[in-house]
Amino acid sequence: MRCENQQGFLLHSRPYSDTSLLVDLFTQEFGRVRCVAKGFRKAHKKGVSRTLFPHVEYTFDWTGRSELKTLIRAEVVQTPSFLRDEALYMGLYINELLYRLMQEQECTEYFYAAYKGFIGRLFSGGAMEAQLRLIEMRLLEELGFGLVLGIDADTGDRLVAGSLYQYTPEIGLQLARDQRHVDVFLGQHLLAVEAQNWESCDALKIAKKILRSTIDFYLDGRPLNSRELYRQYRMSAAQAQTQ
Amino acid sequence: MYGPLIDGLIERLRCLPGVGAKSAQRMALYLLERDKPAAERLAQTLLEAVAKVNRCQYCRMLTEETVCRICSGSRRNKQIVCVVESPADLYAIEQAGGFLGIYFVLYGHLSPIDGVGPDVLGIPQLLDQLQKNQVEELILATNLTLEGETTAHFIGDKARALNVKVSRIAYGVPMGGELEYVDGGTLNLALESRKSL
Ligand SMILES: [Zn+2]
Repeated sequence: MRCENQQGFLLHSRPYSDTSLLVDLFTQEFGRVRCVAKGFRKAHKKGVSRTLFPHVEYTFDWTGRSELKTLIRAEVVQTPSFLRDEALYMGLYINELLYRLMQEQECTEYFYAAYKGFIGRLFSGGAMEAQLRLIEMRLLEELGFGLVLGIDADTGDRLVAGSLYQYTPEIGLQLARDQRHVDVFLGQHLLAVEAQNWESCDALKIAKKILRSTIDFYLDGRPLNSRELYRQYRMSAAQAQTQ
Repeated sequence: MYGPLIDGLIERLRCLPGVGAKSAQRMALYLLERDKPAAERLAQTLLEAVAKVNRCQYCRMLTEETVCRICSGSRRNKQIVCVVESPADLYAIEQAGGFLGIYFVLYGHLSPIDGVGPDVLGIPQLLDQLQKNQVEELILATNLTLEGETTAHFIGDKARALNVKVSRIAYGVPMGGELEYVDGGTLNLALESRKSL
């Protein structure tokens, strides 16, 4: 079976024999696709490199019936360039998250648009934290693990602004049993997160905590190494600022 | 097919890069039937090399001593350190002959998905040496791939925090290259890192 003119991004590549690459793609129509890219490691010819870069949209052609396809063509949609500074670490993070959580050949057209928009914003700069929380939410929704933020999981009623709630992955929000617990949130704040009203209170912080515990739950012990790398980057960035 | 020893040898030879079943078989049969003395020398040298070659304690390059010839060379400027991904990259720069500083070999690049982090690459050791030896300039000569760029960024940020001057090798049009054949990404980078004449 031959698939042509498929829009997609490279998530990850690794050497596969001396001249080929094993590539993991995230494509608009077929979700995750794994291919052998034969000859893509060969030396440049007339200065034209066949190296593939993450965070760049391509048009791909591949063939094959089995799970492992053969990549035939990869053409950049725009000129490739590299993310820098904080955006680079966020780009690594979202790719690793996709790589770990998304199964091969999952259909993801809706999430593809969100991912493409997110990468575009990483390149154009600006505040990214809210965008990062949103793309995490979109990914969880796409995988069928979407957060339910406005509703009490026990009663099915809307949250009460003045009540305290606790969050458990797969269950959702319930009235807090132990109100002194660190991860107890005020209903009003949770409703702000649901409405994506990031300016209010600690909406971003709360979203981060809830998303992190949900993501960790679905990772089920698998590592998320870019998170640690990002943490270390933040440390040296803070260090540089104090000098 | 040939008996356990010969089959075993073929299998062992396949651990070499670029050697598949066919070429492994050709090599094994050549060594055994045509040139036994060469096979013996190869085996001895290999054993000796495996026993005596290790990583230089400063730059991690392969060496037979504790400190390699480059690190102990009297003509090398130890205040300039060039970071490379692999011994092959170091050889390439040495053969070009224009660099008189010392090196640090990472044996890879940062790759979160593959689980390769700063510790595996010896980055803490590098940062430690930068401070101890009062290094003046750190040159980042990692590959122009996302992983290579990430590694350069990461080390660069850490080194700057230690007040070390950091530079990234320039990329651009290959010598003898014709502009119309150079891909757009390379051209953009070449323009970005242009120099005044
Ligand atoms: Zn050395």
